[in-house]
Amino acid sequence: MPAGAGHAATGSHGEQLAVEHVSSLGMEVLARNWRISQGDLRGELDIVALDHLNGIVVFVEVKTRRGEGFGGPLGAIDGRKRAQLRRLAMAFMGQARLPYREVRFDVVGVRLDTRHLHHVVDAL
Amino acid sequence: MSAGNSFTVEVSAGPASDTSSRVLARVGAVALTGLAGAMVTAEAVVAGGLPQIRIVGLPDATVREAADRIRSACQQSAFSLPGAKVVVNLAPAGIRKVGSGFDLPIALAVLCAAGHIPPDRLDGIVAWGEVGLDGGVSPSAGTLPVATAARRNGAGRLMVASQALAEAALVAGLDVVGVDSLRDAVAVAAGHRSGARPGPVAVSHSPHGPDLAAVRGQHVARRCLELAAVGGHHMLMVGPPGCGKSMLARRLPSILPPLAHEEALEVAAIRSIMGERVRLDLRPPFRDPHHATSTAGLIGGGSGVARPGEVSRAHRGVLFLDEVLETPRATLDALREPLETGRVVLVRSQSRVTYPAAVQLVAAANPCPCGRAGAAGRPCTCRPDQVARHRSRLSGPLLDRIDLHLAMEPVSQDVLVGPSSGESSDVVAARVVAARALATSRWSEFGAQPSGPRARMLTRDVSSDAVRASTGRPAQRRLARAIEAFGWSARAFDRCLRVARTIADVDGRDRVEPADVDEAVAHRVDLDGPS
Repeated sequence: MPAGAGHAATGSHGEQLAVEHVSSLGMEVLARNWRISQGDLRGELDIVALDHLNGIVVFVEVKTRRGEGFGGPLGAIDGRKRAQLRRLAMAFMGQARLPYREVRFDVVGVRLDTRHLHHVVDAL
Repeated sequence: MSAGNSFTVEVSAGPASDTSSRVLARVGAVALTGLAGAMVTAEAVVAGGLPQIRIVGLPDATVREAADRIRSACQQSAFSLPGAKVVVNLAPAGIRKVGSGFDLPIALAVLCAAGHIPPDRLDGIVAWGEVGLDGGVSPSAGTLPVATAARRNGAGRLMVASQALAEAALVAGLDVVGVDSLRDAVAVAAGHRSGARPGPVAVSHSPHGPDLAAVRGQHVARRCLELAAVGGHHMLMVGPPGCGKSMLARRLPSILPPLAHEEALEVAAIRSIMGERVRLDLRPPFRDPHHATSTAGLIGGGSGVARPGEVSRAHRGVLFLDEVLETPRATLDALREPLETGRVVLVRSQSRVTYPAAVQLVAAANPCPCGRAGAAGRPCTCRPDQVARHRSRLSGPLLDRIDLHLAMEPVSQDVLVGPSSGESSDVVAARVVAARALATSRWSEFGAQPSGPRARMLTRDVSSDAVRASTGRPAQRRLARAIEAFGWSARAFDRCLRVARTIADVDGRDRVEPADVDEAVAHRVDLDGPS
């Protein structure tokens, strides 16, 4: 990744790494960057995947950081973000035709400087 | 860059994961409600989920903010925190937890849960201190009452900021250790370092301020001040501006006996919860709030847990109200309860706090709005109704509780210019100590109980029965006649008798003579003089 790349590039690079990681665990990636803008609900789900092994729909939030600061990538998810993720997930479940009814929220934190990927299963 | 093959991958489980291997860390703390402390345990456990420190157990805003301070402090001190949620519970959860002092116990519990301190090293430790973003530990308000509560509940050890060490060490029989930083605290808790130890308890006797020798003339007023110092009587001075009312009031602490150790501790505890520097000072406090002070400022107040007011900050000392008639009557009347009981009870929806308020009240006022009524020289320019309204500000019930009413005249020119002839504070103080010793030994002989939660028995406070029993019949008959002539209340009889008792004590006599009664009556009747 070129030095001095913008925030969007950092984010999509981290997401790519997360997708590869999730796939390597045997999950099927259903959607990436699923967006919605409906009434007061607007936002994006980074990755939606199916965990066929456990029969669960997994929503993965990806946080990418290029360096230390603000408490690491996983510290960036606060109560408001959590509530929004739940609402987005409900909207997604309503629209998509899915084989499973159970859901799980995972967070993947990517540190590009230390080359460390931290996957928190069932984080919320 | 191709795939993330070269990345280190860590997968951690969420809240539903196995709990058996988790460390439950426990550190003691104290929840203060006013001066009373209840023991609290800060428990921390690493739960699954996103990394954060979550504090539960009825924390107030300050305590909840501790999470952010501790996170930064750990980072600055190079302590790694778990990449998961750390839940801190302050048990029992029913008591409100207030103050930045919870930072240190919470931080220790978190660091223990994170594996930086062996859990068994924290047994019996109570901690109190504020943690800064840089990892430093500084004193938090309330160290002294926290130490008292820790001692009473048998805590093995109290860990505070080094700067608060001397304050915590005022509580005898408690193992106190001081730390400067989070690194220090962890090293001390883990037993790698011994931490700072308190020196011997320093008792100070701060200089008594202005000396009585500077007061020229005003012989009656000086006499009254001495009576007030011996008997603890409340006192009201009325006189024209510039006659020396404040001058005298400010010199009362200089002739009061030093505080007993226990009393000085009570005074220090109030200072401690106000977040002031605390030392053991045997000089009685002197507080002179401005006459525009609010009721809450005077008796204490504030939402949540009420804070002490001026009357509690003057506990065991002197509360001087200058220009007392400028203070709203409702505010003054709020003083009646503390003057009667020696304490203030402040009830809020969430709390009920009692603060000690055993004060000696000294009030000063001008006789009329222009200040010249009753004085020689230029005549008063106030209309009679103005004077009446001015004086009515002081309610009867409050006036009734003030034993010594003193009308002061301006000092004459001869006295002002002549050499200073008055006794110094030290001379008078020696007499006061002797007279008080006489009174105290008598009251303990009578088995008299102080009427409030007070350590010392003042003639102001002992039971009426004891006062009567210690005064002869002739004196009481003399007083009864005077009371009848003036149409005074039964309370006035009781108050006058106490002053007469003090007068005899000052003169070193066991018997109260009719002449003492006459003087006592004179110190009460003065204000109804010419207006």
